[in-house]
Amino acid sequence: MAEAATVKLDVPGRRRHSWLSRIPWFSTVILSAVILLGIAGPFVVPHDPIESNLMDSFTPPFQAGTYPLGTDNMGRDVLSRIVGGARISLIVGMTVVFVAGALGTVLAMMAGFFGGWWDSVIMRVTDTFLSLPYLMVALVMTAVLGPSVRNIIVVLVVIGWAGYARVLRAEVLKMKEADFIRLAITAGASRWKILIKHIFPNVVNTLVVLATLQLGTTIIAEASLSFLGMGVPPPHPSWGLMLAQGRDYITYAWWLCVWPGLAIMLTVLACNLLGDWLRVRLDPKFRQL
Amino acid sequence: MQRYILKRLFQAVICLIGISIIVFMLSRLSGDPLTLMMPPEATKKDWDLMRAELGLDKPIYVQYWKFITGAARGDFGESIRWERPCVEVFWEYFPNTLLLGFSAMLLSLMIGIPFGILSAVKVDTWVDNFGKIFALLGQSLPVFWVGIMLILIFSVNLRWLPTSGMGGWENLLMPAWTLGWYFAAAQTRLTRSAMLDVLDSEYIKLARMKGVPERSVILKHAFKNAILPVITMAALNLIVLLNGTVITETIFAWPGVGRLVVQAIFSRDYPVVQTCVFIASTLFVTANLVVDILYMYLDSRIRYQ
Repeated sequence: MAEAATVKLDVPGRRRHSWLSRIPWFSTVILSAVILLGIAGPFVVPHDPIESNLMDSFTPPFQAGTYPLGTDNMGRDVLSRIVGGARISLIVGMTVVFVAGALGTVLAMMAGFFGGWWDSVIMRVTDTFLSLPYLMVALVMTAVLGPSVRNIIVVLVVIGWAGYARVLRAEVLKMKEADFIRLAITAGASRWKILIKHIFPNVVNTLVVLATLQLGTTIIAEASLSFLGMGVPPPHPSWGLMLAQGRDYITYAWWLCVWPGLAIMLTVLACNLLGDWLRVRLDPKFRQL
Repeated sequence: MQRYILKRLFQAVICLIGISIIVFMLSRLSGDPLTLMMPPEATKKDWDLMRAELGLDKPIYVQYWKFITGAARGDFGESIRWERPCVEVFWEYFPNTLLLGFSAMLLSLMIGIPFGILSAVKVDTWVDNFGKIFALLGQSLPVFWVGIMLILIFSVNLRWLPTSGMGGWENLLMPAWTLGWYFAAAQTRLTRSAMLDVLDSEYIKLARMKGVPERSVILKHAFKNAILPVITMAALNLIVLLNGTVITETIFAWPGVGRLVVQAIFSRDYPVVQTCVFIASTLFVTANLVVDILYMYLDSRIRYQ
């Protein structure tokens, strides 16, 4: 009886036909494209994303010629710049999610498992970081440190780890009471061994879901910083920076604002869909609003 | 119960101290805050004068003590750009941000609640799917892009609404929609799941068995019980909205706190930046505390934990 119920939960409704229909196609296609272009970008784009060509400035998209998505005020190819922006979004997004996730996980496991002072100190620091208006703080920090890709990564990690710590600590606390952990303690396993061998593998699902959703948030955060002029410095192609520059010409060059925004939206949508899908697949109990 | 309140108060105070340390450190990240404030043509004498005036020649703990005792009295020093007390500048801009925030929240509730209810009542139909897509899109669209696209459509092409500034209601429409869009999606999701939980309960089944009309089951019996988390979330989000205002106010040149922070950062007016970040965080911590304590009064399960 119980088993039948679990099986039903695992394979929701119509998705039971074949393994093909169980893959989140939209996310897979979009994210693979972004990753592939991020890696191979410079070798496949038709133009140099930074080189300007003033003779060709403000070429509209879909014209016969070599600029499928048009050119900007400096005559730079929008398509090449979007592909270049994919690389920057990926580098920032992946690094931040990885480092902030690792930091948050380690702190959450220490807080949840060791308890006592460890827990109080780590959780108060987490609360503090979660109460800060993150965009304002990120802006100030990049302004002080100086806008560069490395500094954006540092700033977003400093602000981003707390979310992981909060959610994962709750998971660790629940698990601490589980029989298999008590058994391991009784059997004489050391605290670190329990943490690494028993607790970590059980929070990894939640971590993966969180990280996927955070990837989208981080990409938006990088774009927001660049949009406000405190992110990737020009002339490097960043989706947020392209939008900020395109905004000045919005009255006669709509394509400068539409394409980079679409790129951000599709990538973030793919991350969110994949995150939701993973949440259902990996951990039906994990519901966050 | 008193112990719980005391514990929460204590936690909030610790949190505020943490925030004050972070805010204090922000302008000192680069080493000497004066390098951020002084113009390049300043002489050695100007530097020394400024250093003494701001108290930067004293040890760091003395500076921090001065900062935190000042902050407790509501004194954050003078703005470099406006040459007036920072708090005065903050309160001058804050009402505009509140107006924008409230409008955005109202808009998001007006969209999110009906959408959420419909989605929950007609679960797994096209209405529900539409609601889900809307919620997902809302969380994937960056605020600045929504703003720019609205300007492109309604100001540049249709010429219906003004692109920026503050004035009549027509100036408020696009910024409120830009800011509220994300929260409309969040409220839809929240209302839907809260309604689904309630609709599944025994008293709803009983109400239906008694023959209460479906309309009244949904609006009177179910919705009244589902609305608490939705309203709580809205109250907390009002503070979170402050984050969104940074971008929305910049795009629409709305004279609020978000734009003030951006301007202050670019003109290196760090006292104003510190003031805004500190007050915004304090509001957030206070709101959290109030909600927690109110919940304790309403929910006996928390009270006796």
